[in-house]
Amino acid sequence: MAVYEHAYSPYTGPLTPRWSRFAIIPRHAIRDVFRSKLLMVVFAVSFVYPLVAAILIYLHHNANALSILELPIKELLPIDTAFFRNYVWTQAKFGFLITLFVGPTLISGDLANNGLPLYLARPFTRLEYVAGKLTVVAALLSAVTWIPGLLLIGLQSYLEGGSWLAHHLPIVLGVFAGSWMWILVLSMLSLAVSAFVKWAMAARAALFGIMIVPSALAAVINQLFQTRWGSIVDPNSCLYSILVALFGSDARVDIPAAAAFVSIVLLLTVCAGALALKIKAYEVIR
Amino acid sequence: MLGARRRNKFRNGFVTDRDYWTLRCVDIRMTNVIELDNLAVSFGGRPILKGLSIALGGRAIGLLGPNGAGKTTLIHTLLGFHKPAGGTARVLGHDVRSDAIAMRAGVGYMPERDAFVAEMTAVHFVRLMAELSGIPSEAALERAHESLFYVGLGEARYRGLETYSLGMKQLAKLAQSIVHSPRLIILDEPTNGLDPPARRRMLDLVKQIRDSGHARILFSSHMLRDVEEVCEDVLILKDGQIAAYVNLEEDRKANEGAIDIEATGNTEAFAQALTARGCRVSPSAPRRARVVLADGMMATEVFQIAATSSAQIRRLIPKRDSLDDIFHKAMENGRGSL
Repeated sequence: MAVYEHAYSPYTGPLTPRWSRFAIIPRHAIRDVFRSKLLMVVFAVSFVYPLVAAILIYLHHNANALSILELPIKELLPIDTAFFRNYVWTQAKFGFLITLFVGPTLISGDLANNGLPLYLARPFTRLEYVAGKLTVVAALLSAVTWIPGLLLIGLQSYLEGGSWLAHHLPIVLGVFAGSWMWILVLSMLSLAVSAFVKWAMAARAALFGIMIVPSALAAVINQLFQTRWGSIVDPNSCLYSILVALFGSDARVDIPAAAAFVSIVLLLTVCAGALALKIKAYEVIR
Repeated sequence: MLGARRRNKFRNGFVTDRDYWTLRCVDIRMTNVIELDNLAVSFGGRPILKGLSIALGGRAIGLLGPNGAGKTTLIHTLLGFHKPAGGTARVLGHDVRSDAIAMRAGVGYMPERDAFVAEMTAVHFVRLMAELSGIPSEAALERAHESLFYVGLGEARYRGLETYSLGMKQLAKLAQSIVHSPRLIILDEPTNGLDPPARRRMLDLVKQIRDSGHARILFSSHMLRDVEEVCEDVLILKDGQIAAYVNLEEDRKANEGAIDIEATGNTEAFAQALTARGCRVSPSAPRRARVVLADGMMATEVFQIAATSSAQIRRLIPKRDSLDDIFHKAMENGRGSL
């Protein structure tokens, strides 16, 4: 129907498959996300560390460059498990910054504008809605965590040659699974906060608090009771323990990885419960 | 208009939604769009809808009832937002409990309250809604433009929704409810807060959609005049029960030739004379009666019959039940009777 023919006519074309519809939300949302210049800056800065890491890997394998620099880079910064573990840890922090910008507004906007009935009155489930919103955060965080991480591993493997990759498989697992643990925790936390706090700034403050306050609380508990188990309430410590275990390294951690994993699963369950509670077309006032 | 190449791309690149085609294949003129069988809905143990059983099949069905009668709860249940505590509800042949997704593919919903997606232009908003209903991205954009032009927001379609007036927001909500060509459009208080020209425009659009025959309409409103103007059938709820379900046209026909008479004098003889002449006389109060005139009989003859029966007519009112009368009678009589 041409636009000048203002008559009601039905759509008779084909439809997209059901399974692909959750991707509609991130496609529209990511377009809007980059309207924020500040986020653009943070997002761009997030690639500085991977770039520096790539340069370091290159320098490690370039004798001429090393001789010109006259720096013992190979000894100072060896390309090993700790190198990639630090990479994931640093990028996760940048991921947290990006989440602070993007996450808290994802659901709060729909709640404030009563948008949920519009989504859920269509052939679109609550699960697809949450999956769509989660994909927005996950896509942005993937771009600064495991994707460049795997590229770095690829570069190192290519330059080192031989069987480097075969001998360092835990690094691949650590970068990929460790990044995804962070992505999942940050995405779910930010969505849960967004579902409860309608004002974007308050939601950002709440998300910041949720990540920072437990660290302080854990430190107080550890100090008071002369233990390390207080860190189980701190998502940062738990994620670090899991990351160290995934990389198979022997770095010092406060709590065992298994306990940390249980703590993180519990946190994710609480977030999922909070979302199930709030993501409804209408609240029923009993 | 989609080019032939793009159409081929859609045909080759996308899987057809089986549910959608199932809906498309069902004749739009099927008898009933909504079937309720002993439908009960409770919130926190408090019954809101109490065993509703009815089949609704008109082109435009009005949903009326006082505040708290259960209109919005019924709409939300039909959309699958609330799970029935008992009984069943079927919309377009789909059970709202077990087959809600397939049902929603054929339903458009315009909520009562302001409802938008934040920080979007109207065209972006309507396009997103079309895509969520399964229309491919480019076709969705085209449909969004068409829908917004259709409802009269063509010139304002690139403006942010937050800058829209109340009337424009209502029209944008209507546009999103029709963009995916639903077979049932549920309009919850569509004329709420509109000024007379905007209300007129909204009603004209709804009537146009109704007359196009492409979609059935469930029209919930407090405005009896709006319902009377748009709807052919009216379902009246009271305290979560069906107070009445009437076809306005049939009701009007049934009342054709009916008059309310107030008379003094020998009213008994007057009633007998009218009955003898072939009229149906139903006393409604002392000295008052509703008279259905015999075929071909004029109201002036009633005066002659009164004169010959020694009765004096004090008042004679041609009877035409308005929706207002129907509604108030339903409220007075309670369940199921008028």
